[in-house]
Amino acid sequence: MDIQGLFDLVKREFGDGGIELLADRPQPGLQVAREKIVDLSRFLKETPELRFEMLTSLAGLDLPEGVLRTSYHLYSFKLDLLLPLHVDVTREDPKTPTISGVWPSADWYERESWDLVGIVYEGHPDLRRIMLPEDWEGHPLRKDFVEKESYHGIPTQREREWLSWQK
Amino acid sequence: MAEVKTDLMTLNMGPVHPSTHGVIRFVLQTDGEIIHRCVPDIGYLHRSIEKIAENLEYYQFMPFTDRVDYVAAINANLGWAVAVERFGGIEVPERGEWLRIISAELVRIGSHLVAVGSNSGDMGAVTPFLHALREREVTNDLIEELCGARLTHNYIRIGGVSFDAPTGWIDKCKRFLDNFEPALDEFDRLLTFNKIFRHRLGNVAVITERDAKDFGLVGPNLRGSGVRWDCRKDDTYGLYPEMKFEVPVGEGLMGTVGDCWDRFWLRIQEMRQSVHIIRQALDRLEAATGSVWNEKRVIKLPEGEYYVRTESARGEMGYYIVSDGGKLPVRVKIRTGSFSAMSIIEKLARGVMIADLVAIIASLDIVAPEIDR
Amino acid sequence: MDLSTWLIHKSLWIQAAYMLLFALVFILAFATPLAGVLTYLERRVSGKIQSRVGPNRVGPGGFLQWVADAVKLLTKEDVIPGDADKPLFRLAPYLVAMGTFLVLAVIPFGQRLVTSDLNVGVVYLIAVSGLVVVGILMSGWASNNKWSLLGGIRAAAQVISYEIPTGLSLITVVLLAGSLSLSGIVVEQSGGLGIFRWFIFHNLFSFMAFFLFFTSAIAENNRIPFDMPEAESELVSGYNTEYSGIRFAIFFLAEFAMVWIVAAISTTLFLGGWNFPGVPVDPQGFAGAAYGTVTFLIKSFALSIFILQIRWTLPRVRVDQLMAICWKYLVPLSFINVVGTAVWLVLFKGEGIYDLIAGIF
Repeated sequence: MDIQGLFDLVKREFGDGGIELLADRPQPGLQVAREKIVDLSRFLKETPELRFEMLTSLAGLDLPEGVLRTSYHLYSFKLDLLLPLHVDVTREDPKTPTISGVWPSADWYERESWDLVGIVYEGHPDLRRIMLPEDWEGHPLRKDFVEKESYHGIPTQREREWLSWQK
Repeated sequence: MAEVKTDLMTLNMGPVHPSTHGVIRFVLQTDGEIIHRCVPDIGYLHRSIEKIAENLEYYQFMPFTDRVDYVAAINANLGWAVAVERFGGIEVPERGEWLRIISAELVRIGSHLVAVGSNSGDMGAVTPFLHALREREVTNDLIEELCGARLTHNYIRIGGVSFDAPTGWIDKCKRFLDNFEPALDEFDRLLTFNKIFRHRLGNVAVITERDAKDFGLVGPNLRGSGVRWDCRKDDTYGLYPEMKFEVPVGEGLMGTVGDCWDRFWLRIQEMRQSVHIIRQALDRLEAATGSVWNEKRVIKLPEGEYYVRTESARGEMGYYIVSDGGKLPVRVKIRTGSFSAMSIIEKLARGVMIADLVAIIASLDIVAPEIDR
Repeated sequence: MDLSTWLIHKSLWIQAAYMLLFALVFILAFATPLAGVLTYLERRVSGKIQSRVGPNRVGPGGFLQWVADAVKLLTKEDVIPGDADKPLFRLAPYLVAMGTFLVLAVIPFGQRLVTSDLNVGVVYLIAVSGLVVVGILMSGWASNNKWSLLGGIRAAAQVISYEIPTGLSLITVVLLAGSLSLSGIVVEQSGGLGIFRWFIFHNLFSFMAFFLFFTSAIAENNRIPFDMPEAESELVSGYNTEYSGIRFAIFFLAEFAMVWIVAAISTTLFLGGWNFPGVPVDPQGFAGAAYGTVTFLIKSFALSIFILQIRWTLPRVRVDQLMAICWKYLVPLSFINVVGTAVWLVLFKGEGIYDLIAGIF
């Protein structure tokens, strides 16, 4: 089954709104509205013809014009098909439903995405920072991230630290 | 007799510990020896490599991929190069491809030797660790002759490799392979089928096929649970289609399919397959001529998103590049096998003993830089 | 040469001082170098097994490495953790060392060379080894460190469990020898060309008893494959994690001295002690006595090198498997040995296989 066939199957199940096929990309995928992502994931995982058993990657992105995107990559062993899904949210309302109920691997990936990009995954069992310390402020992978000058007394700017020794 | 009020003991298997493979921390709640909860705490080695990638051109990012997995650096380099070349439309000369395969498999052997050796060292058998490192020294020397570095190789370039093999190198490789297979057999005799070892690792932390796929495990962890999936065969790249080799899977010889012993045994079998691949590639390298690097000064990927996977020592390493058509990527995400392996430890470690937790961490072949990047 | 005759004096105070002086000399001049030489042997043997060299710089062939290590440890800073239980912390190494070195008092080094020929030597042996458990538990608790505590508790469970197969195998030997005194046991094994009356060859049950004793004694000593209490890769160093400097050195020396002591006791009980073809039971001069002593030392060092080799070959057994080995396999087998030996002795009127065969001719 190729991506067009897959998309037809999905459309039959979910109707028209919310899911678009991005067919002209080098790696064709689906652009999904955030309300549909959980149901779509469950459908893709459990339908016997599709069986997307592995969530192989989940990345949070900070795109221009205030768009925050979560890119999911699903893999089906049965179809040998790698399927990207993209869910876009805005900076003002960065909430996306969690899919950790469908694939447990999403648990840590979503924590990383929250930590570094700042997308809030609703319904996540334990959404806290994973890479950075618990009391870090800011989401570093955003394009407009500016580091604080010091963290618990440790300066973050090299020149400043060097200069302070000079005195 | 009144009920004795007991409490759970909170132990910290801290970032500095002889048997965690790198700086990772586990907070354990144990009832004496049995673990009730094990919460991993990562991020001690977070160097924001993905953020750095947004400020560097594609060819400038290559040394940073070494540091993503410094135990098997060439495999990480190769992943990046394949990702950029596949969608940047860059061809690699044939000699470069063969050198890529040989060096990647040599480094895979080195990485598996470390994994297997430290697995046995954690179980108390220190000698096989040193024997494994003795063999790894030879691969380190070979790679050092090739590219000048023993650990962070930075050997692969976008469009080829950086240096050609010096004279006599191919013979040295062949001699190493001839000495290596008996060393692997000696390893098997000493350790793999040892009764104490089998009892330590067999039936411990069985990962079912469903769990392995659900948690996104890849590489030897996934194959240990019986799923025969290898990027070199199923999502192939370079000249791997021309290599004949098998993909071993765990068969539950000393316990259940997917236990720690299966993963250990699987890595030894993969080393044997790598030897096989290197032998074929060396013969093809001798016959190939030409340059090794198709150098491109300006690399731009067309606008869009690309996810490319290659088989590193710890499994599928995926580079997800988002480009806007310019010289710098918008976002680079590196998907590593150790990150997924860490996420399953919490589930596996419930109800096992502390000694088993050490066995689990060792058998999943976790290296800290891959987790934290 | 029963040394106790030297120490008797009219005044009890002077006698006590003599004994103290003697103990000091004994420890410094004999027990510690013994343990030190064994650490050197271990490092060389392990180097050979792991295809590397081992210490080879300090002294001829690296032989004085242990002296250098001892000096270094003596000059280290004495670090005691802040919240540790200080009196217990300080006392623990001495208990472990005492429990180990006191055993040396009853081992017959030669036909007449024994420090104290107690006529309850075997019981003394078992009793004194019990001090080691107390010392280890103390160090595990007093370190104020959960990992050390785990190590100490594992060690206590392990050592007291393995006392049982050890003790039962000792009973087998006592049955065969008819005496609790160690030098009496060795004398009982003399004759028969110097080899064939060793208790290991006496009958099938005592043959098994040798291996049971050997295995249990290695477990008592916390050596791999039974070294859960100080499992390096899990507990850093188990019950002696927080110890540094000379306190750690005492633990370390006690462990290595115990390796040799285990080998020496196995030799004494099962391998004939100082018996060998040509060794006179009643030496008339220096040569005969020396021959016996040298034989004994060679046998015990050979066995201790074997123990060292086992450490570097086998992986570690997990705690519950360790307990299972003891209680499910070693203890029943030891009981069978005791009963079997007793039955044999009754059936064959105390004669071993060699005696039976010799009796035919």
